[in-house]
Amino acid sequence: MPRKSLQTLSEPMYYVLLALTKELYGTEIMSEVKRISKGRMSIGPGTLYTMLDKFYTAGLIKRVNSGLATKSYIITDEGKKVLKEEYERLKALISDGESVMEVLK
Amino acid sequence: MKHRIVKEEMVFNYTELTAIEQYLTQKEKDGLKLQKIENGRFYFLKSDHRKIRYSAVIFTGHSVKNDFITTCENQGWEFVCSYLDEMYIFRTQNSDAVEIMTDEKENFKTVAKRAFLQPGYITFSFYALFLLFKVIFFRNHFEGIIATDAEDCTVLMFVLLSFLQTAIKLLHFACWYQKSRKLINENKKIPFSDLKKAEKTAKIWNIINLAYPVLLLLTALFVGSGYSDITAVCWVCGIIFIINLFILLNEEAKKTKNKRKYAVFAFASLLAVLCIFTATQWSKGEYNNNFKELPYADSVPVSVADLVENTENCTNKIIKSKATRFGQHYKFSSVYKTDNEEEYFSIYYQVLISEHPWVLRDYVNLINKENDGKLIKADNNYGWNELYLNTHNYKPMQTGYAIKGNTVIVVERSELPDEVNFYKTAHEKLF
Repeated sequence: MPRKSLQTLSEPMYYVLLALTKELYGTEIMSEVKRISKGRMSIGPGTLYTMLDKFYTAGLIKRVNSGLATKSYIITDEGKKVLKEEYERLKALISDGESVMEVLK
Repeated sequence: MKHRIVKEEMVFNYTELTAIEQYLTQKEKDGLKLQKIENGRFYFLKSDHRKIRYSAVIFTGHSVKNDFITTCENQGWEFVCSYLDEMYIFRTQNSDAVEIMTDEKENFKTVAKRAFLQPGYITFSFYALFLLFKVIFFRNHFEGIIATDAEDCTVLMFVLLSFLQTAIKLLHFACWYQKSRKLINENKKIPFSDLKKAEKTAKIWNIINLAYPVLLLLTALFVGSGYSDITAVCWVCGIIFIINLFILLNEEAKKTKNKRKYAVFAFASLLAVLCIFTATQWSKGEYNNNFKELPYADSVPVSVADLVENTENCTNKIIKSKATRFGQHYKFSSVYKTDNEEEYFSIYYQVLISEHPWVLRDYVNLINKENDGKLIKADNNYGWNELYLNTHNYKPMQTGYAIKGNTVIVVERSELPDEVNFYKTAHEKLF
């Protein structure tokens, strides 16, 4: 089942889903990821569309037919759920880390 | 101005993407611009000498294929062509153009999957399996008989070599996979082979491909030594092999630049294999007769015990005997001299022993079909009498069969001498 393999998102996947909280085209997604990550994360078109294909198959994003040659993409409710779960997971990681890091300080 | 198209064969693997990129960049420097890739053949257009950066990527997201190409073009990459809808070739003059694949882990997953399934790996295995089942299983099931030594041995060799070749390729892939996985875990790049390494690998494949027809040829010569009818064909195979060798050595001298000769070599190897197959097919059903002159009358074997005894007394050289898990099959013949020394009487035997009733049934049906449905069943005296003597309704050749337990005996006699003075009630001995 595709959804199962996406239970834990990789770093680029997380950023792409974050970017897709608004409707974007491929090139715009790449720019948005760079902007959100403050230039730390850069995604190539091959990597981006491999992810988009997976997300689309798993129902995490949907395509919006804008009438242009290329299509834009936006996150679905299912995608939002996965993103939220991932966010909570990362938050828990940070929280756990913080308590340990306090001791180290 | 009409552009001239240059074609070049190149055997490549998806684990050698860097080698492909280097190869295409080099071609561009030499004034050859990639136009398309078809059936492993690269088509180039003659153009100016340019310094171009190529990128070969494995992309399997068919649902977003067009968007992917458009976005790459927006990033400064020119889409050149795709191969099998999974390897995409781009080029750019901009040395700062963003990398198409930036996530090594995701890229590795895709490449590893496609490289594993790349035609030539699994297809070859399935082909070998198909042959194995076709030859061993279906033959036994539908014909009820077992292939001759030469046929079985050559086919088995072919199957084993196919598996061996696939196993070597899979081992090569497994080594690359392990190495890649280790490097990916260390946040390093996928170790795609460069052109130098790919050329070395190509040399190894050449040697393996050469060993393949050599072993097949040796097998055919070995098993064919007892069959005069295929010796000539084996010689033809040998000549083809020598031509192969010549072409390969010539090819090696030129490294991997001209792959056309390699294709000729592959074709010639295939031809050699086909010749061997044809040769072994010719020997199908052939068996050496036991021309040992036997005394007349009483020594004519009519019972299963007689037949088994006869079989045991004969050497493997003169009797075709094969066993599989479905049963055991003998073919032999005896020639009997009459009082008149110029007259001979031959009996051909086929004995099939099997624990499976369907094998016995299919076998009888097959023999009956071969005899236009006129096979005589020895379930009464008349049947066997007719087979041996046939005084009432004389026919030059006659075939009959008897089933006893798990054994089918098929007896075919040649034309009887006029002064036949022997007669045994076969039925009495058999049942």
